[in-house]
Amino acid sequence: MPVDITAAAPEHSSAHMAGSAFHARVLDVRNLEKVYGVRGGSTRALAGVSFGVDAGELVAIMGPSGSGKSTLLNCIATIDIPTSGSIIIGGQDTSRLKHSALADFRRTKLGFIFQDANLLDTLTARENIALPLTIGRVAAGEIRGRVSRIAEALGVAEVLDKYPYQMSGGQRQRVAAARALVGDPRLVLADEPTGALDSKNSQLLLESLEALNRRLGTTVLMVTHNSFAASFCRRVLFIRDGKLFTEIVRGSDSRRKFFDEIMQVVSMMGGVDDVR
Amino acid sequence: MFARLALGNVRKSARDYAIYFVTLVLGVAVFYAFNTMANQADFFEGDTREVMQTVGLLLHGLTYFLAVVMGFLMVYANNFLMRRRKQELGLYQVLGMRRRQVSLVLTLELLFASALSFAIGIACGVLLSQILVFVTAHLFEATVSNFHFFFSFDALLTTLVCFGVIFFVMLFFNMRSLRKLRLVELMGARHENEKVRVRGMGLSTVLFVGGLALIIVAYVRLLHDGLPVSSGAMPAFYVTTALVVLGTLILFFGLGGLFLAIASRRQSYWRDLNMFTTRELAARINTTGVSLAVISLVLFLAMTSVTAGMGICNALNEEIEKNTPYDATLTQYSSTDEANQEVDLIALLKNAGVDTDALGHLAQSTVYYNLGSESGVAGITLSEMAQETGATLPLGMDSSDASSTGLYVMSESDYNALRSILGMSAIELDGEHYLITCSMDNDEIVSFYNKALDSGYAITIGGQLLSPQQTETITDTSATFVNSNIGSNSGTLIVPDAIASAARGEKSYSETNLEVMYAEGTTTEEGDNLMEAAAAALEADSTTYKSLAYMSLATREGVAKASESTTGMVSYLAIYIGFVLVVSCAAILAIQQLSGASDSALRYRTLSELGCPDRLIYRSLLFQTLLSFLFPLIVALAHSVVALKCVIDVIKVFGQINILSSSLMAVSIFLVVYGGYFFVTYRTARSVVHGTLVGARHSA
Repeated sequence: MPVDITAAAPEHSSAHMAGSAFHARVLDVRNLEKVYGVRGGSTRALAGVSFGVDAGELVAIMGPSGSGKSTLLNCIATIDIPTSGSIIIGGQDTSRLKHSALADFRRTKLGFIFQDANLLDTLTARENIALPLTIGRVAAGEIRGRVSRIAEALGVAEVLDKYPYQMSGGQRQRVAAARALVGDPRLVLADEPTGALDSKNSQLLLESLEALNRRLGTTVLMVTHNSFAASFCRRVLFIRDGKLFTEIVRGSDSRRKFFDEIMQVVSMMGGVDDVR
Repeated sequence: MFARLALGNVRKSARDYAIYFVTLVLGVAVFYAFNTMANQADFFEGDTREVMQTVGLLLHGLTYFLAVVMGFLMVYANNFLMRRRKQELGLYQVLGMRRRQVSLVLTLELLFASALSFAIGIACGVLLSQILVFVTAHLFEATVSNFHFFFSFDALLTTLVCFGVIFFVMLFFNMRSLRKLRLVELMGARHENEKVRVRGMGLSTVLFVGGLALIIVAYVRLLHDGLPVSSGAMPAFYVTTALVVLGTLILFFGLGGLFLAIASRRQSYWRDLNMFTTRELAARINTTGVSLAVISLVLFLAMTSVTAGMGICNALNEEIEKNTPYDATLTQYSSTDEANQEVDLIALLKNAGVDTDALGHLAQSTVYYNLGSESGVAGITLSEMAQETGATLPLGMDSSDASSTGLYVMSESDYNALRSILGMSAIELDGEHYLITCSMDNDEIVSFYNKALDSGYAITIGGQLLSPQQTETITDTSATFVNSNIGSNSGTLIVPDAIASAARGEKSYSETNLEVMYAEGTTTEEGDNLMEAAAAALEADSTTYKSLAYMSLATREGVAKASESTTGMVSYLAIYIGFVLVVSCAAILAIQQLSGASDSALRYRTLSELGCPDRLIYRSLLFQTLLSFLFPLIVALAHSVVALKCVIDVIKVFGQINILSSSLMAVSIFLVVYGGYFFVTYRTARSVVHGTLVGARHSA
């Protein structure tokens, strides 16, 4: 079913917000371990991480460089294979999926936003956004409508017929977000989505994501070392040395206050490098 | 230290540049092997040896032409690869290497790669040349005497010179592109999105249609004018050539955009990776338009020359039996200053001490045509005939001779003499009729004469009016006066004896033939030996030799041998040219495709991360590779079909050419070489992409 963003019913989204009705688990990570290298020189990038993400949540994972946060995201994204432990997305244990089924799984259940947009530069914005749908063999007529609606929601409707090189960095990243969301995924994974953006464009992107999360209940898991970006989320998990360090929840705090809380944890942890 | 870096670079990029190395190796091997032809002559005797020496010379000359083509390919490929290495070269300099040191690394790399390819190439070439000896034996139907392993220093030297020059030209271009390198551009531009320059759809359509129009005009002109048979027709032919070259270029400029325009209008554009495939292809065609056009023109050249060459050979071989009805013929061609001298070959032979009775059954016949205009002669030129009957002159016979000189003339009794030794009954002309004989296996010419005969076309010759004896041209073996591999009598009037001698003018060109059928009990070999001895005696007899401007002996066996040799020669030329040209084209396409695939590797990775199944990615890659190989081929095929149609029209004058069987040979060269390159290209590109996808999954 296409996502009708503009017509999203307020009571529908409040159900997610209130979280009172039910918490469908979208993601369940259990005892995740990842060891790189063999014999002697091995590194434990993940040393037993467990956590869960409910439907409609907007969660950030923070940690210093080398803390294992990117490895964690890659494992969840089914791009990397964990050494042990399990990842259950929408009730499906990803380690049990065959290699051939993984691509389909990624396309239908997951949405990706990369640090450097990763748009295909031979395609226009419209075509880039449509890509997950054409691969999924959605009817051509339906593709048009869905692409326009999601582009509208992310404020990139006017650049639909432009090529990546003709867009600004912010526009590129929002087109990438539109591409991640157009397939109506269960879980959107964002790897440093604001990493390559200036503060104005970062804010624009994060506000769009927050709005989509609030209105549609899109579940987003974001990896970042940027406290400002993390402060847009409902919950922040901190990772250090491959283990879960702590987590804080925004609750009813203002974003400003939540940002201060995040900064406190960051300094307590010994600093997340490159804080902006 | 620099040598290690260079060696490392060569090893590292071995797979990416595999096609480049393979092509270099193939080039060296083929150059060497085909240049050993003259050496191969040592393994044969007699005629074959002589022919092989000629073939060797021919191929040697051809080598330099092909080296230029090959050099063009290598330089192009090398520049293409250099462009892709800009970043790496920039990095060396950023890390503090001096430019001179970088150029040393580049030179060493090129030297290692070239030396290695050259060594392997020569090794393959030596092997190939040993095999070629037996191929030669088969082609020339000769036996190999005392075969032993051989190595040709001359061939090695020729190959070394060719590739040495190519090496230095490549080096020059490498140094130039290194000088033009701007560090700032290189280091900053790594993650910038690539600009995609696809011409607007409107402009593309105009370009494509314009190019197509030019090509069609060229086709129509060529089909209308035919190939130029006289120098006067050359300017028009040059214009046609220019039109087709220009048209092909413009066509390829517009192709990418038009392809995109058409594909994006279809519903299927929005399915699977179709839009990605289309965009990638359109972008690639746009950036490589010029080289695609050049490739399709070179392919066209290769296909046409190979097919036409083989076609002519087949025509020669198929007609040979019909055109050698005598065991031997001895021909004397008159010289212009002694034009009017009657020649009696039998008397001359006797004079030179030859026992003519021992030669077998003899017939002597003379044909002539007048060089000046004669009174009492009218209506015997082709153009007069055409005017009178309203028929058009057959192609290839509409030269200036058609209006100035008449048909050959032969007397009735000369004709009956050769009919008699062929075992045919004599004809009677009753003093007022004439016949036309023609040995060309060409329906157009024969029906041209038939039309005249059928309409009762009257000629005036020797002051007398003659009418046709029969409505049909004589085309049986009696129309052949001289043994030859092709039809040699384009039209001869048979007239009553008195008229034949009366009509001969002050100045005329004549040929006197002695047709010989060996006596019963004489073997071909004995007969041939007798004839050779007779011809030699005639030549040695100085008193008679003076009056014999040109003399030639054509034994049935000798003509067959010569024809086989020609076939072998043309086959070698065709294979050599065709192979080198096709390899050059296919290699350029392959290198473009492969570097395209590795340039796009990140895109394939993104596609995979977005959840695109590998199968769709590989299918897209296959489709891109296939179409990139097909587009130039299709254009080249279209050009070839039109050009070959004209080639056939010209060759038809000599005999029917079976283009189908000869093009089979060309087609199989194509299938193997072009198809082989396509296959290897796809497999290599697939493994490049596969490496990216797998690498992304496990090293992230």
